Amino acid sequence: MRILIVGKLNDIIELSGAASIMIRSSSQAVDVDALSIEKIMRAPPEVETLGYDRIFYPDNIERIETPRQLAETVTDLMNKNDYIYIIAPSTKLFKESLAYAGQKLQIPIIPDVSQIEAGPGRHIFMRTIMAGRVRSYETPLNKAIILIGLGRFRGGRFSEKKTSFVPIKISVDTSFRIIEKREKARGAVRLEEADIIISVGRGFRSKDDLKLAFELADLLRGQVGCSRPIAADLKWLPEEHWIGLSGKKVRPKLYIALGISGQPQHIAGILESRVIVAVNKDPNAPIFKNADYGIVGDLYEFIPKFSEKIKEILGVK
Amino acid sequence: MNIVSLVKLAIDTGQLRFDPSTYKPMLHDIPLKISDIDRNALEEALRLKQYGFSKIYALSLLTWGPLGKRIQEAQNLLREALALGADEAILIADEHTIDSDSIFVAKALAEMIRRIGDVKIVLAGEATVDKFSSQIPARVACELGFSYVGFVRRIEYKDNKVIVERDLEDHVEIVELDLPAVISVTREINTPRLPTLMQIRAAMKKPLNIIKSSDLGLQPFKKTLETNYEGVKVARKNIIIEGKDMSEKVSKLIENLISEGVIIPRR
Repeated sequence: MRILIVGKLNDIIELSGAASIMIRSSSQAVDVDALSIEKIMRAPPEVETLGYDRIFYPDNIERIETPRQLAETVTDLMNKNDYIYIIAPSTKLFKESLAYAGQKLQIPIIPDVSQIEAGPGRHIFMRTIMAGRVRSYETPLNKAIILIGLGRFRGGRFSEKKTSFVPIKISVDTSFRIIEKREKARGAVRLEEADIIISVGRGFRSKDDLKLAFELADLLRGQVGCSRPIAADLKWLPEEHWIGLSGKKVRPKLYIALGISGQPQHIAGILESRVIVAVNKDPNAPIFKNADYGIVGDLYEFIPKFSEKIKEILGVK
Repeated sequence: MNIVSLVKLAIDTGQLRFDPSTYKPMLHDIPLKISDIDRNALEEALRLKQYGFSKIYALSLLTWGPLGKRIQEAQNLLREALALGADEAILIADEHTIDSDSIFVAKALAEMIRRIGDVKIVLAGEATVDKFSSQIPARVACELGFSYVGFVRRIEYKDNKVIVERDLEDHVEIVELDLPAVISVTREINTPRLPTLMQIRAAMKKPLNIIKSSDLGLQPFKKTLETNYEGVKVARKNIIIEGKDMSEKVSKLIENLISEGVIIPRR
């Protein structure tokens, strides 16, 4: 039995954690290969020792970057090696490329997997759908592509195997011409790693008022997130603050939604928060259905009172 | 030269209900709606029509059953797509489309697109609001051999090409793509219109065809996944904190946050 892991080198390290679950739960011997989408100049020691059998990487280009290139490379490797699972991060490039490959190979995809359960002779992959209200347990009847939310598994050595690095030639894709690539502004905002997030929505009356949220975030050593209108329509905050389906997916211990109505697209980004607090004037705002604690009221009244009490508790002057 | 806008008739997650004993979602009883982001796709199709396209087709495949009950509901929703400005609507629905998997869905949609003929652009939302899997557009592109680009928030049309801006997690790409192409769009691309009363009336006269997957020459699909849905029980506590004033509400909230261990008081 063979498994293929696809991603950047960092992903290949992290997803080795998923590989080791597969190995532990399988009665047969499992060989794990990987495809790095970036060229590897010299074998990085932290990857070399994990136990991969072979790591393929592009030789003739720096990076596999079009959906079709990635789809064709994966299809090709699948046809040669007959993998039972292809595992990749659940991010946009892999979702689309591997959907394309999945159709070529006539195999299903399970995206956004957050949990793997091993049953006798099979695996059950869990993901959350329908605005966080339904868990879908999916069992492939044969081969499948599994996309895993990052930050889920800790990588580590899963076998004693010696890894060989195998250069492969990637065909040129002339149909998809990248004219420009712009990195999104990356400030000090690392929402994916934040323990506490204060998130702002349309309930704020002006851009200036957002400083209230930033002050509160500073006090709690948290970060500021926002809903779609604030980043996309009003452009009061750069996109790196945006949480939701098209923005970031976060998993803080505490998520405080201030003046956010709670559209399904926003909820999709906060599903894995441990505790969600919502403050909104509208008692019917859908955010309350997705919150642990709700306060119906004015956020302008909430923030100063909340800050004051937090200062007392934390002993901040 | 035509445009096809894919329309998913999705479970309206705002109206989800669960069986009290098994806590499974009662999917057969929950109304469907046009998946939100597919409205943006249709709006973009309407905008692109000015570049010499003759027709906009709203194309849908019914996956949520039961068939008998859903077929009228599906037609009503597609009337809405016609009212928004699509010229024709096509619904693929029969016993094989219900609960079918994405491999089958893509094959059926692709075959219908071939039969419509002269389709240069296929548009769809980046994901549907019920299952969020984001895979149908790329699968359809693969079936048709079209170019594909996803997560697009701006489209510029130029003769037999498009230049798009697409939004990935940590960067934005400007991509030039040959047509025919399948393009998935995000909500940021536009603001979908609301139909006027006149348009709603006019929609009653526009063609809406129902096609069986067997008429498309498709074999019934072989199951590739076993799926089991369960409601998320007490996913969230849903406690609304009451109090005589904000000060009292805030104190109660903080007590709760301390007992949850997410705020740690300093001694």
